[in-house]
Amino acid sequence: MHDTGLVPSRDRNRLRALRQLPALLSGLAVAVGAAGAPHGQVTDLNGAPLSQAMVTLTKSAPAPGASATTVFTDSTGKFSFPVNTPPGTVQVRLLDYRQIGGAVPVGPAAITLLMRPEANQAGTAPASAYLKDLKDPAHREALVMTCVACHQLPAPEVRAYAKLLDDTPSTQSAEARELAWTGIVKQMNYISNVEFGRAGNLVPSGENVYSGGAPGPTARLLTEALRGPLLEVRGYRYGAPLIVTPRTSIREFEVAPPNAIREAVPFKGTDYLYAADVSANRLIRIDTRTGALKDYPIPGKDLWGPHTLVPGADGIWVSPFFPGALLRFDPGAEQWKVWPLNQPAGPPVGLHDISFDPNHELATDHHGRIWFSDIVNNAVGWLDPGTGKTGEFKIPPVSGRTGGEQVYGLAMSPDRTHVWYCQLGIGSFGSFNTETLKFETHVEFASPTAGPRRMSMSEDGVLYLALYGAGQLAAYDTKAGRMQGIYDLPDRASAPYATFWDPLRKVVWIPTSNADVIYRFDPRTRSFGVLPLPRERGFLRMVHVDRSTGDLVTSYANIVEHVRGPRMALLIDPGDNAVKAAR
Amino acid sequence: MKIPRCASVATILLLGAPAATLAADAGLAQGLSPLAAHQHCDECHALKEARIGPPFLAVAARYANDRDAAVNRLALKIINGGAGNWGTVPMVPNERVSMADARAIARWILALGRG
Repeated sequence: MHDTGLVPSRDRNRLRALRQLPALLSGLAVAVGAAGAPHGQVTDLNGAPLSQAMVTLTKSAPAPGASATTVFTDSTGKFSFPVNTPPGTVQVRLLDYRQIGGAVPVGPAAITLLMRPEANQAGTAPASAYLKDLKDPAHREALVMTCVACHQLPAPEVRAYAKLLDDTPSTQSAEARELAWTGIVKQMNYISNVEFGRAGNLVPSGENVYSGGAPGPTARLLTEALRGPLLEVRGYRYGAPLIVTPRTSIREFEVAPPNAIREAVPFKGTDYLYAADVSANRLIRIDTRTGALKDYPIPGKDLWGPHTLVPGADGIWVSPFFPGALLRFDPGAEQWKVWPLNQPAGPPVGLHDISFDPNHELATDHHGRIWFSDIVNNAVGWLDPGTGKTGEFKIPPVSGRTGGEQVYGLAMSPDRTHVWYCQLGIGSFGSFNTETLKFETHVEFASPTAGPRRMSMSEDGVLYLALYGAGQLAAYDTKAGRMQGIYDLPDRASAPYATFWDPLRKVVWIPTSNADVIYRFDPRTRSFGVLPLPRERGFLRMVHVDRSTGDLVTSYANIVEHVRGPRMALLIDPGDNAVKAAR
Repeated sequence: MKIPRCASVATILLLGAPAATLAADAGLAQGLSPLAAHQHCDECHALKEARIGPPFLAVAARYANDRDAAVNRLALKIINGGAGNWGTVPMVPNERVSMADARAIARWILALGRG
């Protein structure tokens, strides 16, 4: 993709074209098939084509479909948008290059988009690029676990504050900068208190106004990590091959603030995506053909805030942000059902994940019980939706790792006899036998801040864990009871939020919160590929696969009100013909 | 971290309200003007007590004899941030706030001194 300078550019282009003839032909096929749609070529000022560049068309007037569509250039720099893509403006994102003149209008006529090389990657590299030179892994883990829980680090506002500290005479010393970052951490604690307290109308006040952890340790880490004005970042690499093709497309559907799209799922091969709005009491249905939105508010007086979505045979199962219930939405009948979980005088039950199978659809045990992780009580619990009966089992303490041991992710074994859970705050995971009702396996990662979050399991019983803090993927063979491997992600500061076992492709998808990419892990070769996203602040949480199309569904989950990143649901065709290949 | 949910009249009233309103309510409950609450000034300031930044009443008192001239300076401080008058920690820039809104917030702060 990048010039070596050893071969004259004209000859180099010929060589490149010959070498990649098959890809070129496939690119031509796309161009012919999409006649009439916006198309063109991305080159540098010498006319050399730039491959695998992200070209994003944002529609300029109301029109059916996505708010923006992204395609990638082929080996000759050519790109073509799908048929029926409306006119709009196009922007290119490509590491080490900047588009000359910025976004330009495009219609049916061919257009050439010119780029100039730029070593300063600010604006094209993700937030994680600014953390790449941190020497101490514990330092990186702590920052990711603390700050990237809610937003990318360093977000543009954080970089702006770093520049202000760099410009201000009174904050030239490390001590003064640490004092300033202490103020920022306290501000973040305040925001957390408001966000988490809103269902109970808890207004921060008095001495507890900035409660939520001593700000000093994080302030010290920020002082060390964010030196200088942060106007530049250089030398960032994705760290693994891009997996995009000329057929790859990313469609983004905007759901303007104040809506917060925590996650989005496909449902039974329909053209609809269903998005969880954690800021309010509703699901949002997005018609991917027209872009039309429809709200489905949860009836009743309680504020729930839909959080985790798991499609099932009889609807979309929803765990709410605020504790106390399991919910189900029936898209056909457009109706909600709520199962209360709190026992009289008992502690509130705070669901995070719900049991699902290797197809990532709701799974029950052999007694019809749905299992869930209870993040408030550090327990695994169950609900029999037929009877409404429910129960819980507290996870045993882990020696030497006390404090913050809340359970997080949960997945069910293919034979539906075990649920596997992980504990985000203490770096461990384990299993619970749903037949004997006993805890069995327990495994700890070396680092207590490794940060396992959402998990999934393959048909052959391999449990995949995304290690948010450590920036790694763990693969644990639950049948053999041994760790298959712990693999460094291409970017250790990427903050991998989840794993999604893809039953169609037999790969693992790993959405990241801090690197604007989704990783693909192939267990057969134990290698990673990178699916880059076109937008800065692409704070991803969950990803799902639509098994009928092979498309990925995810969202920019900038759910905290103050985070000014995009709020969009995404429908991604990786361009690998996976459905066809699977047949 | 999740916290127990407790039903209250306020919770019921807040049902279905967009997040912007919910977060702004924290500022309103602490006596801020609707605009100051909407722009989340309460994250760093309170009326009477010092938080990360000075209390609004202290700001109003400092400029009690200079209110008209102080409106623009305070508005620019809201937008650009910076250190100087109240210690070494620079206020965060709030570039999303328009000059008109910043001036309105500044006028509200300065008017507190009249009470």
